[in-house]
Order: sequence, then C-alpha cells, then structure tokens
Amino acid sequence: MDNLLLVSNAILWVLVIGLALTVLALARQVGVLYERIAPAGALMISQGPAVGDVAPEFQLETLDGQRITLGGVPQSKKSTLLFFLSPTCPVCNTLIPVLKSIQRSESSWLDIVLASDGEVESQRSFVQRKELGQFPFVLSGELGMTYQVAKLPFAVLLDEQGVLRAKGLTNNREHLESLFEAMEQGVASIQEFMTKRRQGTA
Amino acid sequence: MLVLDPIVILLANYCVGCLFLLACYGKLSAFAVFCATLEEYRLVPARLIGTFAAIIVVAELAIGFAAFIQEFATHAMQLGAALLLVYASAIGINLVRGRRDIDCGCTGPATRQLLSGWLLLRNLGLAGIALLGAAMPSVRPLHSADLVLVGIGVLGAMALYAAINQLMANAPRLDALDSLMDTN
Repeated sequence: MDNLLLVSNAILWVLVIGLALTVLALARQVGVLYERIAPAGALMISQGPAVGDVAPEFQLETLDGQRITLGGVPQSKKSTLLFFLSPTCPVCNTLIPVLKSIQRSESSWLDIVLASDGEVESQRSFVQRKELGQFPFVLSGELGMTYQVAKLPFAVLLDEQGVLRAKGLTNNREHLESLFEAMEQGVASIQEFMTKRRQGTA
Repeated sequence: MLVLDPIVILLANYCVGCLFLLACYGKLSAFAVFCATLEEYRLVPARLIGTFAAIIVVAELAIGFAAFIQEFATHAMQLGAALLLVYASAIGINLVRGRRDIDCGCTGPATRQLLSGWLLLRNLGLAGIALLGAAMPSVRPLHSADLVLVGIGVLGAMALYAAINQLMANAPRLDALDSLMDTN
C-alpha cells in the first residue's frame, strides 16, 4: 500500500509540474499572439505620412501659449525632432535627459518639439517637475492620430525642407540616434538599411 | 504559534526567496526605468525616488538571500510579508485614485503589467505564503527525499507563478483589442 502511494505521488508530481509548464507555455503563446495581432493595427501606420513625404502642416499652440507650425517648410531652416511622450510612460521619462543633451549638442541644426495629449493641468505639472520649459510642448490628439502613434515613446524626424525622414518607437538613446543615422544615410528604416547593405555586398 | 511540517516551511521560504531574487534582478537590470515607474505611483517625493528605489532593491536582495539561510529565514519571511503588504497598499492606493494605466514595476520593465485588482490579490496571496514560511517547523529529521520534494515543489510553484503573471499581463491587451474592434 505504501508503495502504491509513493508511486502515485511521484506520478502526480510529474503531472502537476508538466501541467504548470503547459499553462505557462499557453499563456506565453497567447501573449505572443497579441504581439502578432498588433500589425493589424500597425497596417494603419501606412496610412500615416510615409518616410520621404512632406509632413502635413499643423498650426498648434504650445502649453505656454506660443503658436508654432509643425510640418511644411520650416522658416528656421532647421530639422525638427517631434517626440511623443506621456507623463505616465516610464520609458519616456528615462529619455528626457537624453533629449536635453541632444538639444544642447545639436541645436545648430535641430529643434526638438514635445507632443502629448490629455489634461492640460497634469501636463503642466509634468513640464514643471521634469523641467521641460526649454522645449515647445504641444497637446494635440490629432497630431498623434495623424502619425498613427500607437506606442510611446515615439519620435518623428522632419528635415529642414519639412520632409519626414525617419520615425519609430524609441525606447532608448540608441533608437533615437538611429533616427539621425537613418536621415544621414537616406534610408527609411533599419530593415531597408540591411536590405541595401546586403545588395551592396552581393 | 502555528506549527507546520518543515517541508511546507522550506517550500515557502525557497519560493519567496526565488521570487524576491528574480524581482530584484529585473529591477536592477533597468534601474532607471524602475525609478521612473516608482515615481508614477506618486507616493514618494520626486527628490527621494532614487533613495527609495535603492532601498527597495537592497531589501529585496537581502530578503532573497536570507530566505535560503536557515538562521535568517524566519525574519526574512516576516520582512518579505511586510514588504509585499507595502506593495499591495501602494497598488491599492493607486487603484482607488483610478490610476490603472501605470506599470506595476514588479519584475522590471521586461514584462509590462498594468495595475489591477488581480495584482493586489496576487500580492496579498504572496504575503500569505511568506507568513506561512515564518511559522514554527515541527521537529523531524529531513531525508534527501524531502529535499527532492522541496525542489520540485519550488519548480512547480515558480512555473505557475510565471503563468499567472503572463495571464495578468495579457488581460489589458485583450481589453485593448476589444475596444479597437468596437471603434472599427
């Protein structure tokens, strides 16, 4: 009898662990499925302005009441980095010092504009807390819709002619810098860059 | 005081130990993001975020290692339960405030997990397990078979825990998908 209990216990343990691992694998698969379905939303990105297009023109008022124009040929003859962020996005917050340092080093050819949407008050206190006063800060749901911003932090790079040169999800400094790199190299994305390089070496 | 078979207590100790070590690893591997996440809880003044984040990471590390050392395990479990209850109240306060769209930060930024009632429940459950680990063990000799049992028990429990976390991370994505379908 003792022997039977022992064997049945061992078998049950094997089954329990097997089941737990199966449930874990299933849950992961469901998670991956959600990731894969996301391109159904990302298909809409192609409706947004493409790299190489002239960016649509927006007349917007910044948080401190100044009017600025986004898109079209800029009067300043500078490129513009449009950075979409939100006070509730931790990764955005980690990029704020990076933005500040980029603005310091690249101000000769680049303007940085921050964009978000939502309540004015919470955004104001966000600007104050993070000392973002040096950047024009616009609130516009329409802007985000136009560029089909689905995930934050998202950045769009417009050149001095107002042409969209690079855009994408930017989770760190390297991603941001890759946008500048893409503009310099004249490629739309890392994928296009890889394809070009492959063709070059073939 | 509650007296339990040593196996139950060892199992609870090792599970809570693994839990804290994994959580601590996730936080350390992206410390800046963890600080920003902590700030979003809006419970600590912005100036002290770095200090608090460091305290949390050190506490988790200490509890994680102490859980595997017999002399310290009871205290580690008591501290662990207290820490988990602090987390639960932080989540609860933000749920009451209606801030459900912030990241839990529980295991670092790799798995994004939004705040929810389930998360609160999970933390209370974990605190219960930690308290179980602080109970008195009944005295009996431990054989190697007992240790094997503890080992596979930890394995099974961690797999289940990871599955539960994954399901909780999935849930808001399903909601997002549903609302996308509605607008189309």
